[in-house]
Amino acid sequence: MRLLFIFTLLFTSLHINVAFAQLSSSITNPELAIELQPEFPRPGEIVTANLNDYSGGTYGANVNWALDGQQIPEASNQRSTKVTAGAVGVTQKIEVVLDTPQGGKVVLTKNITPVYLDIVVEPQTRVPNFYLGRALPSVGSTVNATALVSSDGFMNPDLVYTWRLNQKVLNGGPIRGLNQVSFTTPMGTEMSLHLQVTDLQGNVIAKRSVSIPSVSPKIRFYEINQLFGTSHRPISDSVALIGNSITVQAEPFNLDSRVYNDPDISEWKINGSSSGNIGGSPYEVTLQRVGVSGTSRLLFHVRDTKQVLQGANEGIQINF
Amino acid sequence: MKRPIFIIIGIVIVFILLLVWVYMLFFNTPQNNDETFADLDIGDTTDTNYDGISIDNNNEESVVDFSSPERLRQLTTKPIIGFTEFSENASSTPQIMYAEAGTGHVYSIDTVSGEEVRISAVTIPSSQAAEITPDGKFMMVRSGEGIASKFIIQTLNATSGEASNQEINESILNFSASEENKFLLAVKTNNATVGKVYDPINNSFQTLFTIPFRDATIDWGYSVNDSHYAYPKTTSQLESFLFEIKGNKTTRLPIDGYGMSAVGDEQMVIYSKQSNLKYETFIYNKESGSVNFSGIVTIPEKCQFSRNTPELAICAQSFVDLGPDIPDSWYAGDLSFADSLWEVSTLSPTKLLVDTEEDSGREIDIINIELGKDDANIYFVNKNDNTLWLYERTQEVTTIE
Repeated sequence: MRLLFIFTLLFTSLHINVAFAQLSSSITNPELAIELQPEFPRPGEIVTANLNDYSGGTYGANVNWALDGQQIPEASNQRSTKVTAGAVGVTQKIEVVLDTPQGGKVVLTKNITPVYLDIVVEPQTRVPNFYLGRALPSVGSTVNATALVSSDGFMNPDLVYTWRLNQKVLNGGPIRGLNQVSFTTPMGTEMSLHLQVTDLQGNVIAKRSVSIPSVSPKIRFYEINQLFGTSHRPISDSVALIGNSITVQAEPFNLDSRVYNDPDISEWKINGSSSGNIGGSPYEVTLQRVGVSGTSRLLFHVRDTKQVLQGANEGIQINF
Repeated sequence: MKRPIFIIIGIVIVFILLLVWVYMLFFNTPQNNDETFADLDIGDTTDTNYDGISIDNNNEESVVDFSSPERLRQLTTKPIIGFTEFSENASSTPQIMYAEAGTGHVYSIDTVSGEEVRISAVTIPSSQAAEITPDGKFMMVRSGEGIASKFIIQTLNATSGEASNQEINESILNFSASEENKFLLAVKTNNATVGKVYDPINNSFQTLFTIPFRDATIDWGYSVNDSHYAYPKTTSQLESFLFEIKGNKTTRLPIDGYGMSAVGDEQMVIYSKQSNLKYETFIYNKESGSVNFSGIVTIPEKCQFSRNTPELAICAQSFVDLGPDIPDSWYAGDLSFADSLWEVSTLSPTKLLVDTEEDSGREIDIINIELGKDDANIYFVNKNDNTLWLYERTQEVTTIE
């Protein structure tokens, strides 16, 4: 028993010693380096270069900054300086020379090679054809994202892409050449998509994070003219039935395209009474004037019964 | 003949008419809908015998008052879907050709006499968008919307009034007529947008470029070899990035942002974007790389560059505070403007040409600006009703002695 106790004590103290040794090493030998902010700048972007020296080993040293061999006089004896990133794909060398009072000299360098890393987000949700803008994601809908690494034109396919949505790595990890990814919009009003692009040797070329909104589908109503097509101005709250009939189109903006094409519920109601679908588009209704003048409330409801947030319910007043 | 015979004949005629009326009223009940409603032949019909195209030879003419001293004038009362100013030769009077919405009928207006003549009476049902080549010989029309869209090339003959149609089977996002009298097309594929040139004479396609995203907006140059600009369709809630395409080269320009949209020519790019909850407009000088405020705040789709003067652009702007959801709310039609026309130049300060609401008393939400020969005329469409308008930038002064 005593032998076992001594053995355990020795084993534990050995591990503690190793841990202390590592801690002491990291304290006594901190990284003396140039840190860039942003880390992977775009062309023409202002970059702040900071001198990180936590040890104080360069206390009292003369600090001289240079960009591509040209001294930056205004940054003399400063711990940081600002430079403008150059043209796309062109490498700039930022250098800091530390002349210590003891006569020592430390030279640190860092390369800046700006590239554009753009993430094109293409939500697979519905917007009308005349709408010039892009659709937005809604809960449960699919989003396609494409990474475009631009140097002189689009970059070669021999790059490794690591995609992460919020805290979840997509596709199980880094994949060579996979600059496109699809994912389902999670719950919440916003999601973060992170991307890291590396070369085949594992050197990071660029990183990017984008915040993507998730919105609720919204219905707008547009009048359809049999000759001229759909009006491009929505019916705000009410519409006057001037002739004998009017055709109204419900446009559920940002509704999942799959739900739009095959909705579980698509229902028109006039003054609370359901209007049976008589074929044709479920998003169109033709109203005919009958009887005396008055007003009616026209409602449209579209929804997916499996993902109930994929839906919308809206109404307008018809004056006749 | 004697008077009594005339009276008897008259009474007989009146009696016969009364009998016909009584018969129509009580015995001639319509048996089906075809007898109840007249066939106006306006497309979207369920009649399987209807071939979608008909020729109407009623060649009516009207006259636009070009002698009016007003520099701002409405050229059409009917909605249009496309137009161009063209001259048969350098010395001939410019004509404005336009295509009518819904029917695709083509008309021309003489800019001196104001006479309007119908050039094509071939109906293309549900015509929604059109582009006419600068020589006035070909027109491309989008009929219908969405997946039901059809793209038709119509060959126009102003002399004979005849026209022939040919359908293009491509999934076309947008199109434009080029100075070479060809059509520039953006075609959607599974994961990219392909730019193509279509030659209507040879019925041939040539691929210009491929950009690796589908929801693309293309700002076409005037000619095939000009710079074209592409960006992911814009929204105030997602970032867009501008690419310049010239020849075989696609270059990422230092222009991006939320709600970013842009138009450009060979010298400059006008772009707007949301910046700190403010919508702002900038001019990017391609040669120097400099970026400056444009002097006005506008949606770039309301701007057009001059063909003749590369540093000149005409923009429409409204004196309203543009909020954080611009341009989405304008695209959806929630927001409409009463615009003024401005000259934007890299060489001189931005200059107001006309406040269209003050001059016309109408709210004109200006889109599709085009400059005519020598930049003398500015044509545009009112988004509110799709009517065609003209502003004489340089007005000819007639001296009366």
